[in-house]
Amino acid sequence: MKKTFALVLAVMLVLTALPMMTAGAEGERVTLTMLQRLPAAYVVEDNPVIEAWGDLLGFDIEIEAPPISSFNDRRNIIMASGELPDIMYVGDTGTNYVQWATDGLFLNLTPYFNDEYLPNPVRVLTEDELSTVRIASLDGDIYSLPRVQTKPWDNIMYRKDWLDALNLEVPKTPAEFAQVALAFATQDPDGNGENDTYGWALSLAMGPEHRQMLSGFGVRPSEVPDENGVYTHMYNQPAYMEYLDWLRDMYATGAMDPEFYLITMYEDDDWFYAGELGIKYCNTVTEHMITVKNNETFKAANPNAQLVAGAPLMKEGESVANVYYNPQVWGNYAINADTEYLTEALHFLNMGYTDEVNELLMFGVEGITYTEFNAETRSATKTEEQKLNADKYVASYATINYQLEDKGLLIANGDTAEDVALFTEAYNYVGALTNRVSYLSGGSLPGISDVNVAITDEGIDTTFEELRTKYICGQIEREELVSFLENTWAPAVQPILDIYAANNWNAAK
Amino acid sequence: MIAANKTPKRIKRGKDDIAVSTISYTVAGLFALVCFIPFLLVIIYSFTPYDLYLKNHFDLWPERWTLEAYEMVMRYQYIWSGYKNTIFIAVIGTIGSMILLVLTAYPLTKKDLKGRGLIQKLWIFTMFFSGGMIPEYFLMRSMGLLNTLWAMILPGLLGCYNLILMRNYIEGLPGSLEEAALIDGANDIQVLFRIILPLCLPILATLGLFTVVGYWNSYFSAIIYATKRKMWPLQLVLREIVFQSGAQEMQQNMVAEENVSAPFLLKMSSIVVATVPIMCVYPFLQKYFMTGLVLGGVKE
Repeated sequence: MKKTFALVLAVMLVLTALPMMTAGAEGERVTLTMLQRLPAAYVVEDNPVIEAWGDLLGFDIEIEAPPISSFNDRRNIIMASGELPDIMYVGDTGTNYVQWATDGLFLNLTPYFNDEYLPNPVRVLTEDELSTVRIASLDGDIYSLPRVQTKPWDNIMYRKDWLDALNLEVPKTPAEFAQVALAFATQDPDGNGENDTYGWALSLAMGPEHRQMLSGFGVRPSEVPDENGVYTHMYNQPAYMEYLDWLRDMYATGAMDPEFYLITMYEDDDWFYAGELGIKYCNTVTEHMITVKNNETFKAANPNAQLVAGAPLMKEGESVANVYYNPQVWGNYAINADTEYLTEALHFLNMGYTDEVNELLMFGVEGITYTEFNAETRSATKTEEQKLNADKYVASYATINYQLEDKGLLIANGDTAEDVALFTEAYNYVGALTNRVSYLSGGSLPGISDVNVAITDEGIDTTFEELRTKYICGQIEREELVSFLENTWAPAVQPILDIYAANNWNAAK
Repeated sequence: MIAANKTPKRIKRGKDDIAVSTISYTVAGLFALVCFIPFLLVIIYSFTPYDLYLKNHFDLWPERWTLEAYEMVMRYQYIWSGYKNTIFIAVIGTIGSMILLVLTAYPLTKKDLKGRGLIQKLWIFTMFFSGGMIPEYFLMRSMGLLNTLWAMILPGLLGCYNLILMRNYIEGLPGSLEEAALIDGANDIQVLFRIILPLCLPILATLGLFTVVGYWNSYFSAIIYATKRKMWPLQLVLREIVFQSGAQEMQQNMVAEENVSAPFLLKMSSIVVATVPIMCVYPFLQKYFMTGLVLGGVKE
């Protein structure tokens, strides 16, 4: 009897406890794991922004953030181990990406790329942008989604106080630019009585072909045919030689820093901040654009300095600068093919392409990382403490996407209304004088890399770089460079142009 | 006896000697200066206001001094956990390494040890060949050491190079010391800890210094084995601070929204913060370098 009673009690205990246990399991939130590339200052543990992100999505997010400097090493080990997190920042759209997708490590997103599963990316991403993550050898399917960067207006910064001192306007054409640069170098714009300034410095470390300079000459990317459908390599276009002539003239007159060949990455930033240069061009990095951050650096070294943003150079007689842009992709995100949480992972990516998530990851949480957010100007005011918190808890690196349709998720630089107004004015000014010409890079077309390897193996590219530098510095005559370009360079790159032609690449651009 | 107690006359130095000394001191002094000036500059830069640095990159005595760069470093939350991790790794790793060195090297000096040649060959093999990054990662994972500081300590605990140095050093000690102890009734353990170990202090100090510096500067194993940032050692945090991400993204043809490049002076202060503690270890171990090879013993 006692045994029976005990058994009944035990059964009742289990039956009463079961619903409670079930309720507990239902209440538990799923944890989605993620590999992300984040800067050193970003704090992953106990980050209120990540917690808010999880609350918004309805599950927890556990982020592994390897050192940004060695991200690829860590990522490659993860791929080799086969133990992928649910979501991966891949940061590669080339050979590795194709191989990993071919090996079945990434989920094929094509069946999900529709309004049912991924409506936001479908709405936001253009076909050009998607082309960067399509894999031709896998039926052109999509195995990751690209993070498209804010569409920046490449700009050129000038010392406004120098322009004012010399009664000069912000230049718009190459000729005006050279004139201003020469005046900065020779007319003592800082008024210290010493010949210690230059107009600008050509930074080879940032690449010798700068979009905002080439636009002044009408140089096309090699992938873009002319109006007759003929593909000509950029270096073989007459306009490119005009560009080099222009550089050569500035070198000869002293308008350009003669030590340009030795400049390392961002070194010209320091020279500009030090008041040695009056012009600084800014590639792709929106932050560079006449920001308060830069102004603060200036003010420390040059209390009276003022900056003004200029547009990319435009051809003589034109009213806007035609600047060629390929899709501005900043990495890509993939889903683990073996994820247990497919629904959550798709929801994660889908929500990443909304203003809501973008603003959360960029600006953080009200009261912690900012005081007030203005959705119209996409800017936030911050106290000193909130600025410190923002350094720890938010970063553009944390975002899933960066632009919405063709508008661009412009994040205004600056922490006060005055700063934001300054930035927005410059942004709009440069934007009004810029015409973006979209095209697709052809680097991933089959056969291109083989030709490039052959050119490198034969030393043709290094010979060209040597001759180009010598020409800018006035050490060789024009004929010598032109002869090399016509007789050596053009035949070497012809197979590349043939591939573009065979694929009718950018023919409609 | 009287002659022996006389103070010997100083040998007059010739012009050649003076010339050689002058050249030697000059060259050695210049070399020391060349080594010292970069570090001095790093320290001075770290205390220099940014505006003064911009105006003059090579100012050995700036008009003003500031702690701004150090304040910036201290704002990096992972600096503190990095310090804690690195101290743990360096201390435990060095102690463990020294213990294993002695315990491994001493038996290998015994010529009657069976399989001695094979054991040594196996050790030397590891000097030239390693399992590779991925197999080592799998090994650590299967041992459950991922995301632990032990994963950063154990792989480098006993290096073959140090082992060879240690073995050679012990082999070079007078054999009569050991024989005398054995005659007096000591067993092998007592010989090791009472006779050999005290005589090994100079080599232990030397290898200990190498090891502690090696552990202090290590960061790569953390990249592979640590998935949580709070497990990063100090050098990895430092590397992150001085790294410029924009360059890497340009190489990958990616477009970064912002470049993560720390101001130059922040890099300088980070270097000081990361190197000064380990530099403080040197003076305490310096005397062992000067000590003779044999601290005591019997006359041969």
